[in-house]
Amino acid sequence: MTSTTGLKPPLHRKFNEAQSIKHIRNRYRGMKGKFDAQLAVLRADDAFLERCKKLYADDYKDWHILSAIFNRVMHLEGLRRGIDLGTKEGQAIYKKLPDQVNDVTFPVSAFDGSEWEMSFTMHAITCLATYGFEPRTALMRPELAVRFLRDRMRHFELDIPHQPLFVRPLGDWPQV
Amino acid sequence: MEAVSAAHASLYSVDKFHENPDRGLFIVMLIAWFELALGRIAPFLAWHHFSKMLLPQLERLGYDIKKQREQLMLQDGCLACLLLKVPSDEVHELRDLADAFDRIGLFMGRVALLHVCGERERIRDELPDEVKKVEPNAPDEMIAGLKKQPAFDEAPSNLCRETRAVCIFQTSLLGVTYTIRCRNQIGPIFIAESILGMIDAALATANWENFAFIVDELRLFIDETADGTNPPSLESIEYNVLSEVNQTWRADVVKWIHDHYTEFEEYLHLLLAAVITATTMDPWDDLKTELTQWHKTGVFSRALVAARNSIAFSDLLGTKSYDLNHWIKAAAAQEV
Repeated sequence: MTSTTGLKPPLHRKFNEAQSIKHIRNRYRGMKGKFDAQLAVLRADDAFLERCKKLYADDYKDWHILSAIFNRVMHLEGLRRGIDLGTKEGQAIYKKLPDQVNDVTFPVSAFDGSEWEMSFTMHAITCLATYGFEPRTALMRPELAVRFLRDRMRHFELDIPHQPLFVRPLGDWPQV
Repeated sequence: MEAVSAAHASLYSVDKFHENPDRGLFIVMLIAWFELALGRIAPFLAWHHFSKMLLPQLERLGYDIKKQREQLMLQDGCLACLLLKVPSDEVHELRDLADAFDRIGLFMGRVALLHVCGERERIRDELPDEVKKVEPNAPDEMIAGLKKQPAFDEAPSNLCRETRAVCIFQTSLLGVTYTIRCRNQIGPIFIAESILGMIDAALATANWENFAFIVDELRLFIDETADGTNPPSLESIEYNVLSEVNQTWRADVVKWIHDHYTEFEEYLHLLLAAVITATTMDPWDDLKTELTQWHKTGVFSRALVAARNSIAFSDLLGTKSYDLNHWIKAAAAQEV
């Protein structure tokens, strides 16, 4: 029987390593070739690579960093185009946006600070649904979602083996 | 909690008491020990006093009550140790109980109370003349002796601060801390204890791996007011789980629970479902399976013991005796 008082929570019963690897593979597949111009700008910037070093030290993997970059690019481009997500029309335009940002670039400075960190949180919360959870509360403390993924879904342990994309010498996308 | 149920089962009628009077007294004294260990003075007084009322009944039935008398004296000594150990500002809040202690026969407890409250002169003045002459330092020696007792080391380091307007109860289970603040009145306290007892019992057999808790703290405030509702709505738990959720009952909720026990049980069932739904993100079908499984193992029956205890308690002791003011006023009335 699992201890109900121990400090270390057990993996959640929904955790399935093979399934998680499949999700990660799908994420790499889904993002490859979607924001190449922005990626090139960021990979050429030493300060950004330095920030990634810290992320790697905190167990973030390339698929987390890439997802955060993609989220940030989408958000910034949405703002630049003045897309109103409060309208059906705006939502329809936004839905097509992922296929329209490959040549878009924003300054490296936009990938730092609290909004950059928020991109990681947004990605984590999106992953909850991918794993089959149903966040029901309107208000959720994002750090708890991240902690849940870290402690109980091995979200920060798994990746497809490859040379990291944001460490010199710069690696390439994993074979997926 | 089980002890309160046992006390009720043994003592709820004269016939029941006569079936096994020894057992009834044992349980009541046991609860007094529990309350002392928790540092809850008014509940301790309630059960200790109840024990003392049962003693002559047992004697009349021909039981040898020497050991029980000794144990009650021991409780008095342990109360004194507790009062000498906890911070003095906490004891000062109890200074009006000196006469109540006297009336109940808690003489060592009374000396300790007056000592901590700086009334050493009063203690000396109250000594019988013959003791004053032979052992003028007897109270100080008693205090010094109590501080060397094992009970002094074993006593809790704080009282429950029963004079506060609001009490706080807390438990942590499966990574979630449940904090319940409640109005320091018997009704809200019963409800707070019932809720915590229910959560404890319901999650005792739970498999942590089956629950994806997405909050680490749930806060409730239990109150009773003239504008309250019996039972209050649980809707805000769903939408407001990160804030303290108010559950305001109508005044004199104990009577309502007593008369509407089934509805109160239903409320607890719904509360548990609302709490589990709001604090987890497991798919609803999975939760439903889990709740059904719990039902099959009878865990809900165990969970609802706390509610039954509330009724048992009010049948045995009434609803006032867990309030310090009850003892203070009772002592004052005695003097008149």
